[in-house]
Amino acid sequence: MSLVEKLKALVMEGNLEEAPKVTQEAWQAGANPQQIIDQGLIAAMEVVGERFASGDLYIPEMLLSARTMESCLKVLRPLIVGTGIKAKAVVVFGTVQGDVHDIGKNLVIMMMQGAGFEIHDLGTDVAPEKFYEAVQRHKPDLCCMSALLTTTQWAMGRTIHLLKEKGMREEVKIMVGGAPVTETFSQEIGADGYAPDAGSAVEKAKVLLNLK
Amino acid sequence: MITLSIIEEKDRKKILEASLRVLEETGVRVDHPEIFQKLCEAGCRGDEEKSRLFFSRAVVKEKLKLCPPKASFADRKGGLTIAEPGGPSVFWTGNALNFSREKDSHPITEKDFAEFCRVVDALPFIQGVVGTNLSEYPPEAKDFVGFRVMMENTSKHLRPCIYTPQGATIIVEMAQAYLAEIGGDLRSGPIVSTGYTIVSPLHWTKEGLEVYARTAGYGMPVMINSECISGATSPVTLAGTLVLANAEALSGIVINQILEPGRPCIYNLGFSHVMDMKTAEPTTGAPENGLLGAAGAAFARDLNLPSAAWTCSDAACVDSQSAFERAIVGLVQLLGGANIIWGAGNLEFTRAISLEQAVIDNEIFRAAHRMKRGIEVNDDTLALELIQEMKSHPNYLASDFTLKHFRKELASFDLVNRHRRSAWEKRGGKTLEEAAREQVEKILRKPEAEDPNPKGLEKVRAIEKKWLEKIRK
Repeated sequence: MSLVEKLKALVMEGNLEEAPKVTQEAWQAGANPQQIIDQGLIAAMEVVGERFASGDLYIPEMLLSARTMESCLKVLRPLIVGTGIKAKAVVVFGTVQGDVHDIGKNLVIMMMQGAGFEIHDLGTDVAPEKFYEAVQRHKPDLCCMSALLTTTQWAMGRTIHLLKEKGMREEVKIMVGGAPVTETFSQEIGADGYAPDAGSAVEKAKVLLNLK
Repeated sequence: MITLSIIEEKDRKKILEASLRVLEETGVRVDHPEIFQKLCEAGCRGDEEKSRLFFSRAVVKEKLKLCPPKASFADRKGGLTIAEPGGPSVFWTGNALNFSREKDSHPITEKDFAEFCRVVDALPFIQGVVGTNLSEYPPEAKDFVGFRVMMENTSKHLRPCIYTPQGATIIVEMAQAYLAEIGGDLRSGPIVSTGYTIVSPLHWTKEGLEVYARTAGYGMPVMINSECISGATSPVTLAGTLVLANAEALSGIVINQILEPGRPCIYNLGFSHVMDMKTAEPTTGAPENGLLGAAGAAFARDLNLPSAAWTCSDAACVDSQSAFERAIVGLVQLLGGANIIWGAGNLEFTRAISLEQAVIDNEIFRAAHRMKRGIEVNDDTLALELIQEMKSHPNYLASDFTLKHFRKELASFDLVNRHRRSAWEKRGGKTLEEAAREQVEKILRKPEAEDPNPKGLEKVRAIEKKWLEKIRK
């Protein structure tokens, strides 16, 4: 078994102790950092994501794998500065204005990080202007908005409207989700995509961004 | 009456002690500057920069003393439910986003909700109606429009779902105007109650506190809800969730007693969920939901307060799951002594309502109430003389004793099948769901009842119109 394959297995099992060590070993043995990330880390999280989606894995186990992957990335980051290695996608993510709920958002973020996405988490109660500023600054491929309340979900529409007004709507794909959000609602407000749950959000994002 | 002991006194004391430490040492985020100030004036220690308040035991104890042990809930037919520790329990409906019929689900419309209210109005084991989403209306109008729909279609106690603080003010205006027509007011005739939920963990939002503030001063009962999700917004252990939820409910009671000393408060840990660790959904039909609701009722009794809970099912449609989950959870909460139990007609983690489920739930609650009542033992019910008379002749069926006692002693159901198979087939061979559907249709065919106070209802409609016009401008 190669070191990269061993790393994949360790991330899948959530071995926080061994996985960073094997990451370092793989690098020192001459493995290409992109290969370590793609075949060691992201590949592991793809399997984890599939097992979670099919109900064979529990969330805490999935989060452990995600944390393990992050611990390996921490080892790799100083080593890959200047090498031109990029994230699969850049995402800006927030819970909309007036809403302080973020469990779903945080879960999707961890799953997206597992898929190799770079996430800029804007937190909760994010006004449309803040989303706009974040889109301007980070130039993301995807902007994700979450809401739990029927009173706050309309802020998603206002955010999309603001991006249109500022001429930035075509620069970014927009995906929405949350308890009161539906496919119909997402179409009404002009979003590009909607995910009904955390399990399907990453797959939906990949489809939107032509990463599948 | 049976009361199930879910959690021993020594464990309740440990949990209470831990909750008091949370309030003293961890504090609660309070986003309302005015209420923050009032709490500081009342003796809490405040960190203004972080909007964090630390509640001393002395303040908690002092404010708990102001809370009345009873809360009254009136309907519009002269009925009154008194919720009090150790007292009887009632079932209400619950709020929801969607309307479920067979395998279809769509956002609730005004027509759906009106029909739901009419069906519930005919069901004797459901005593209160809770407001829901109304998809045709903007968020600023859903609550008070929903209140009007409820007023038009049911005379049961009403608990509108509040969407904005302004909505709460409008509903108070509507209720007071309605009652003024018959010489009453909310204090003497609490036909409507309110409540709000803290955002777990430990965060009172400005909106929630503003709802409390705007409904204060009328003697209107208020439900203080902690709705933790074990494993997500509270510790995954049920004991840890109870520590957090108890702290949250106590903080809400302190706040409400500062806003209106003596306001009837319903202590509610019973909305708490557990997170399903496979789907990330906050369950409502899990056995743990029953335990948390019953435990909450026990804590409320210790504090000499009425309590609440929510029984529901995570099923997406009316089926065996929607029946068994609700029955198990609801029974434990009822036997545990929760005074007000939401959830009649709810499905899909409380996201949906269903007419058929409401009708089935009425039967479930009928059975649950019979169990709660327990076994009455007295000289009459011992039936010693009758046994001596009958000797070995099994003629109890024809006896006057049976005639006298059978209706009270044995629950009788409208939908539950008690026929053997051949008779069941002759009667159409219906499943419970099919029988429920028929009963729904039967109820909806009946002419709508007239409001006992038609002038009052006109006032409600006029206020709705006035505010809708303002909102739409």
